Amino acid sequence: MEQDNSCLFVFHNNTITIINFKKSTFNSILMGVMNMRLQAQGGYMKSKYFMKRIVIAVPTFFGITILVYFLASLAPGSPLDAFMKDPRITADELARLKISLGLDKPVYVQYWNWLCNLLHGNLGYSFSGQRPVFNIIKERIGATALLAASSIVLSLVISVPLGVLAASKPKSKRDYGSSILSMLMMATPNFFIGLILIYFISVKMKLLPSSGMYDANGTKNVFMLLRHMILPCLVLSFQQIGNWVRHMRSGLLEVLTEDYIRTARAKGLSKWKVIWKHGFKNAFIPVLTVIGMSVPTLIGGAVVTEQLFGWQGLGSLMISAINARDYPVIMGTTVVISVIILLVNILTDIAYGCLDPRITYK
Amino acid sequence: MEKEVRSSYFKESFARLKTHKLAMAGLVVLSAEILIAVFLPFILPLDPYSTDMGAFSSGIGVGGHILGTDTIGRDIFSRLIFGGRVSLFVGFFSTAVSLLIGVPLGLIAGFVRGAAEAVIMQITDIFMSFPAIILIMAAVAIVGPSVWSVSIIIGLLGWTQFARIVYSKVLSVAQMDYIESARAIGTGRLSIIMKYILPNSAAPILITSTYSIANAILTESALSFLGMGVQPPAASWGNMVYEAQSIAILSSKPWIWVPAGMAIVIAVLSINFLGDGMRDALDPKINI
Repeated sequence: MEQDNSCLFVFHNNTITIINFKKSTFNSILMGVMNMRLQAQGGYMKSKYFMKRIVIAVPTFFGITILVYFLASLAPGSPLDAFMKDPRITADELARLKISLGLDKPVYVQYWNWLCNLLHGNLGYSFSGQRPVFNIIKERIGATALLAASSIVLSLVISVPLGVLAASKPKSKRDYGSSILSMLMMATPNFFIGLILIYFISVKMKLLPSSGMYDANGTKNVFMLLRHMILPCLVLSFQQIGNWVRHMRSGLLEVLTEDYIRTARAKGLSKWKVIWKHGFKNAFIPVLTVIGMSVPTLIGGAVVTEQLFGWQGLGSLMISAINARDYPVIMGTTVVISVIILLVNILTDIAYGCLDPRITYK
Repeated sequence: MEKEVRSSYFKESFARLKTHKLAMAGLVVLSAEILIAVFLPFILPLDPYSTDMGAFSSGIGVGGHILGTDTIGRDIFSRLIFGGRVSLFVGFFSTAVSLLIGVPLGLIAGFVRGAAEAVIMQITDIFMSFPAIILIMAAVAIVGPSVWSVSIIIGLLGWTQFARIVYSKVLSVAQMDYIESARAIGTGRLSIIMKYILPNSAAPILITSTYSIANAILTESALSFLGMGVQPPAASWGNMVYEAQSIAILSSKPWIWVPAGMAIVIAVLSINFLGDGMRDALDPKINI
């Protein structure tokens, strides 16, 4: 049944399409791998569905670790190169290092050791600083989380009203205006809008700082952090706002054609009351999925944004690790980011299931 | 008979597309961009590499340079045109790579079902739980950055959307009665795919392709902006903006970085307008 839906809505809007793809994939995996089909419904089925959703994430997790390890093992040069630069090092010491780093064993043994360590929270030691990768990531993750979370809030605050405004009067001037604006925002690379903002707001008007998280004088407080966060947050949200406005608009338009909207209008409710009370609530559920699906893009965007603004988060850590060819840091960061995205996807699915009573669980 | 019907569908769609003003504007701008990037270097003596010793970072119009020169005296206008070649090439080529991988995988998953389906969709899930740019950065750093490696890697990591779209399309089309009757008269799997499934998937594939091209252009520019993409002296819109990471150039020599940034915006915008118009035109059901 749901597979039929995915056909019907393929063009309608991306939101619906994505959801139905996910559902049909999910169903097919359920039938294919587990060969099970459950007919009953209710709370018990719901929790069972959620358990399945979590179980299905396990092979994905292992797939991610294999991919990351495979990619890192393709890299030219070996971790020993860094030590070989030292003119005082002897062949003996090199051989000892090779064994202590486990580089003398076959690749799958190395992968297994790495995986076991990973599951124990040991992500290895950074080549450049000789510090535990786990600690480095722990130091940096807060900054990225802060930036990403505030960007989600900012994007919602701006895109929801714009989307509703556009959908409330389709094909009007304000509809075209908001859709052209959102297309323009989506087409602007975040580094370009970042440079423009730095040019006008930091350099010309000297209103806000253009880099770092705190002032150079050493004092740290929340106010200072907020001042430094405004520009990166705007830049990180820019493309996302454009995207979400479009989803909000098309989601709401879809809902507004439903019969219950006509009923609500017919019983004498005002247009805006109908939009907010009946339309918005239903249109927001797919938007929730869009927010969940935006997280990979958001973290990808954070790489550029953090680099541009000298924000000390995971993104700038990733870039410096790639430039230094610090593989344990690259691998650790990639795995951590992917696990976060995996968790967000699960949470989105569960939230979607809880919020939309129309979904049935097979 | 069948051919007639199909061609009239595309004819109708194109007629609808022609009434879509933004889409037509996008189409015109995009065609102009492609023509300029491909043919202008044959018409005008453009030189993106050599240094004009008399004009380091000179402003607009100085010394015969229409858009000025960069910090080492290279002509910005020439670099903009050659950078356009690179950006558009990366956009189209990486999308072709994604199509070549994603469409067959989607077909297999939807048509063969069983274990193949589970494995392919699981792999799709794995690829989709990475932020693409991070994997691309790591892969480009390992393979070494060049126009070819950048476009192939972007393509290799962008196939999942095509696999998903084709897969869901196959699932829905395969249930149709005419597929059943085609099977009943003994039509083989391959010809069912070629005759019925692929033409039915053409519209969503086309639409996804336009967005994929736009995304690839954005990804390449971000990579080059970080210094991890197309390397100088080769020009790309992203690495032209890279120079603005120096605060002196950012604040006092905007002609060096603004044109390239604008070029990215215009290219991506025109492709997205075209894609939007195509989505409306190819789907007669939607009437918004």
